[in-house]
Amino acid sequence: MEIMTNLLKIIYCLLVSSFLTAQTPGFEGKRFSLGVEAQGMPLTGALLVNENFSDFNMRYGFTADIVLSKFVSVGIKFQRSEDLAFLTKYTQSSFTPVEYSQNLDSYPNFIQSFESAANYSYSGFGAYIKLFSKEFGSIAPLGHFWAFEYQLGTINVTDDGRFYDYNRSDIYSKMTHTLVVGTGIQKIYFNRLMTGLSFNLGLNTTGLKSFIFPGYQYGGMDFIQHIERKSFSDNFLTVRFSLAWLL
Amino acid sequence: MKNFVLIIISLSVLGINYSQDFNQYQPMKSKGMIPEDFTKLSSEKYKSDIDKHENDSLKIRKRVANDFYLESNFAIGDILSNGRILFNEPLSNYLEEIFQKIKLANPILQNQNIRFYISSSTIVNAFTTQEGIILFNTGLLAKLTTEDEIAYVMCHEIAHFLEKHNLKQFSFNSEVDRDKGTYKSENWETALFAKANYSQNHEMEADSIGLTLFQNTNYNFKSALSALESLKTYFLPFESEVTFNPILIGFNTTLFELPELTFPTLDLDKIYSSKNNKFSTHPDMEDRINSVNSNLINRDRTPTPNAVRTIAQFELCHLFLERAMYSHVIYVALALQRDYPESQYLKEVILKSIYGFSQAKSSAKIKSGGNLSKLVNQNDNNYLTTSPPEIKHIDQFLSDLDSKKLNVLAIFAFWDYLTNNKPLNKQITEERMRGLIQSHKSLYSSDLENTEIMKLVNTNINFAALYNAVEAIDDRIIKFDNDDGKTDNFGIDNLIVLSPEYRKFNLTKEKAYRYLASEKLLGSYHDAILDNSESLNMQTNILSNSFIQTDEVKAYNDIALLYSFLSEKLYSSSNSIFSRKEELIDLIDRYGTDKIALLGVYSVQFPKAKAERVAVLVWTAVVFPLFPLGLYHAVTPKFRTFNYTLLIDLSNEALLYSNIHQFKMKGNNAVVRSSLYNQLLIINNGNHD
Repeated sequence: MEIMTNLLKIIYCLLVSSFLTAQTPGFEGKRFSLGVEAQGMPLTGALLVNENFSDFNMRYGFTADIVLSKFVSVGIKFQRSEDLAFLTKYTQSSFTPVEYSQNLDSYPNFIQSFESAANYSYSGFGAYIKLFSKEFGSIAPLGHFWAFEYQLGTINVTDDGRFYDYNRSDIYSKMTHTLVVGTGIQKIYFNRLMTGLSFNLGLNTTGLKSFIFPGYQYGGMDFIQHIERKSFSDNFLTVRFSLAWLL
Repeated sequence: MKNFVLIIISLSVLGINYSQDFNQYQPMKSKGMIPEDFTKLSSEKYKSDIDKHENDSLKIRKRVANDFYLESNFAIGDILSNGRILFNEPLSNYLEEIFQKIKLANPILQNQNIRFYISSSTIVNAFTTQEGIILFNTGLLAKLTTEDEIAYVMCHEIAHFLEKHNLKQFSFNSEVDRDKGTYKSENWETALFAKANYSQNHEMEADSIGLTLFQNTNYNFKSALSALESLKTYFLPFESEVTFNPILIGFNTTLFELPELTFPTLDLDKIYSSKNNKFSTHPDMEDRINSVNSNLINRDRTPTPNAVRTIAQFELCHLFLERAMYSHVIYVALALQRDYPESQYLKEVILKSIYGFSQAKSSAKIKSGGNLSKLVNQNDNNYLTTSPPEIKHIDQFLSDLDSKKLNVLAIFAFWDYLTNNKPLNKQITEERMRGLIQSHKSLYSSDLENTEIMKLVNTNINFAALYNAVEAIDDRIIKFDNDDGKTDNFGIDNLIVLSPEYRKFNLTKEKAYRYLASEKLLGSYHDAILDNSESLNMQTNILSNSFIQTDEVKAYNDIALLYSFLSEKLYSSSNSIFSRKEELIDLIDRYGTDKIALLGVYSVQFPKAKAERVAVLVWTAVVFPLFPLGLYHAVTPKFRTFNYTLLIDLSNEALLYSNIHQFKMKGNNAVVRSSLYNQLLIINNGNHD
């Protein structure tokens, strides 16, 4: 909550400062934009966490952006994604996959081939800064840019009925940090409608840890490792499309 | 009796039309309603010409005709909007009168829509367009001595129009360039010769048809020969028996020992060598004269004097000043002074020339150690080498004169004029003198040998007051061609935007310039300038001939004046003030601002390199979800959009700010508006990068 409060304070300060400045940069003086965005990338999930090639791992979001100077704009966003996390090689017996993984040594013959799935969701708040390329001739918010973004999000995994055989929905929940570096291009149509396309490289701290220290602290709980790696792969390499309306 | 009254009335009308106050001469301006040729969009003229061509019997390929009408309409549109064309003033009215006489004698011309305008150029030339517009240069009207000669040149140009020579030449050139048919695989020299030969045939044909038209009139037929003789030396201004003497230009010859007067000669035969040039578009003039002579009907009448020759010659004064061709100006002014010795205008024109020459030498002393040749552009050098001896003579004298001596002589000449005459504009004349004193103080006053000015300071209180009020600062000397990059808070909220332009090129096409798109986009660009000015609370006046309305002749003349100012700034040294400054001050008062901006967009499309296309395809194939984007990138061309901005202070004649903004994007509406807004923001509020 403290982070949210701080973000709101930042927004408030930006709005006030922009209203106080009589003549401002921006696209014909229009500095604010509200928009939506969608991002995803199928290949990384397939390579990193055994997902299907066609799984786009779509994440959608809402953005609010303000141009600060000729080459700089900053913004905040909320992103959310909902997906299924497919967990293989776990039983649907009286043991939950968790319990099974914890007692794997005692019941070696219990292994069957099957597929289980859980609801996977991500919700995050982010703040970013876009630096518009002088070399490209860009003038914020139009043209080529480099973006640096920080996201604070939460991963939630809940049962979709195929994980536990009794009523227990919460499986896993964790707060996670993501740093994203991206490059892209923004265009403006009809003097108001802004479109954006960018390529982003994101490092999710939780997922990164699961790659650097495989097996560490999971105590055999591979599915948690799988979840965390998925959160890494969802951010690692993404293509982002955005639509925004200039105010 | 009736005839006598008619003659009196005609003469008085003629007198009203062509009389000028040569004592206080004002450069000519266009008058009345602006003709449709100037107000109609080039795209509309093009469409109309294409429709007419459908019914034309001329066997020209449709595509070639399309290209011709497109290019010629836009080219003539550019000429008509460049501020150098005059209409409804004495010279073009006179041409119209002559045309009426020719038309009366040639019924074939009754239904021809031919219009005459004046091109403010010192070059001795006239030319016609397929649209029926015939342009006579001021230099030609200043040179031709009789109305009969003008009539012959007019008939020659009309013949070009009647025979559609422009279209035929364009078509022929296109066929040659197509590398098919007769000229397939011929080398460039053969092709060039073929084009030149075809053009020369047209000239001979125009001479012949023109002569027929001319010989139907009541003019003196032999004038056709004298007109061609005048055109033979098209590079020379009108002839006059001017004998130059430093005293004639107000120099005090007792101050210093002056350079010896030399009398260079001009070998016309050496200069006039087009007989050997088989690539010339025009045939040898001797051949033309012989051809015309052989077809001449023997009838002798007294030629009518050229009624506007003097006006045209007065016009040359400011046109040569605009090109910083000071020796030419002095020559023209001295020639005119023979008939108008008391003309204040001519006296001031000579002073302006001395001022310009002296300031150029002072500027050269700073920039290149006094080497004036570095300041004179190549065209003017060519001009000087082919000048009549009288002009070379003046130029030689002024060039040989030491820059310090010239400066002192100029100061004395100005002071003499100010004390013994009533200047047309005392304030501006004094400003020029202050400029000379400033150069003197900055460059020459430390020289102990230089005592002439100090003597004047010590003996004349008024001069001393003027002298002491000037500070020796060098800023003025370099300011017009030096953008110091400071863009802090100009605070300009009232601005004249002069002739914005939008030019779109597609380098993937054989004919790269996109005429129709450029004109359409220019309209949007005008809107964008006004929209953005409004949102920045700036009052902006767009002065442009591109979309000028019939009743905006005042704006038309203002544009012409501003073009003249910019042109002179390019040619003259940066420490000289504009020769028509008083008109500029009037313009500043009327618009309430002394700031003009030149804004424009160049949008260029060109193909991507093959290596780049392949690299993108390979890379996106590896990261295959991006392949559609890679494919899009590979098949689309590259774009660059350049938006230029120049901000000029008319009062101080200084370049305040210049910028070329390059977008590596297609020049769509948003890109142009973004850059434009940013530039206007800088003009209005300074640079906040």
